Amino acid sequence: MVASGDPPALPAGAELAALAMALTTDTNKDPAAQRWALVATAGEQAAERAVGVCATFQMMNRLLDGVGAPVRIELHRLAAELGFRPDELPR
Amino acid sequence: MLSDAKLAPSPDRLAAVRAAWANLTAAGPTLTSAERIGVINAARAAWAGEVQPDAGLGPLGEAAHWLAIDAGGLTAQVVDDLEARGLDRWRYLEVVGVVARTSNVDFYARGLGASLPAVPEPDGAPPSRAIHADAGITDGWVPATGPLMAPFSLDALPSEGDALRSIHEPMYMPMRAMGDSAYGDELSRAQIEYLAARSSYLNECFY
Repeated sequence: MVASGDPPALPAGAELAALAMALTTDTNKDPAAQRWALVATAGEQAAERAVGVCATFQMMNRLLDGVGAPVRIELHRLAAELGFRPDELPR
Repeated sequence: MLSDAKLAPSPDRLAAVRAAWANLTAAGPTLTSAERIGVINAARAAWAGEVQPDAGLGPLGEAAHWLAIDAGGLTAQVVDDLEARGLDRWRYLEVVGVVARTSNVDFYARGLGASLPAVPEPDGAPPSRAIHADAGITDGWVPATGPLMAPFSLDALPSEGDALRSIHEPMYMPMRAMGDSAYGDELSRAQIEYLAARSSYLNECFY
């Protein structure tokens, strides 16, 4: 589901998936529709919290890619599940 | 700041954003306020759709541009090239931190339906020159105080490391809760980690 984008089997899973997609990939747009869909399903506080988590991982992704952090050996198995080999990343 | 948000920020996250913005737009350990604001503007231009960096900022602007929109495409060779053209590893590390933290502030504001924080006039203070005396290249491209671990990856510039954690904790979760799989607040731990994993996958970040 992380790779495919299929909604996770979690409360408000579809709305969380839509918010993450909109906020991450449309870097110059207000994700209004996705925000209000999540508010309608999970409430304002949960939606605000979700925006914060998504925003934080915009930071952490750029940070770790930018400093050239290696993929930890314990994550190599997870990488295989996601369909890539860390030693084949162009770094 | 965030006063026009369609969805109200929590008090702790609003405070974190205010503190981050004051820090980001002031002089840092190796960059002036004007340089940091130039980095912020370059990142924002990239997010707004500029496909190439503004040549006026030189390698500083190039680094900011690519960190903003294609951090996963950076390679050791690119960082070597930036260094050869005048952006040393300490300044590059600070650019990484400024772009990264700006993304947290700006994407949070955008997600709430708020205007992006306004960029102030640069102040005239010089860089602090506060760097960690024992830092060196470890397992990445930048000076570090040990193996590169997410919340500590800016610690070669101690004030930048502190600033990172000051926004990371209220936006993600307290450091003391990281190992607690039962942690929950407005969202469950499973919901939080799904958002983290999905955002990272979409950014093609595998670390």
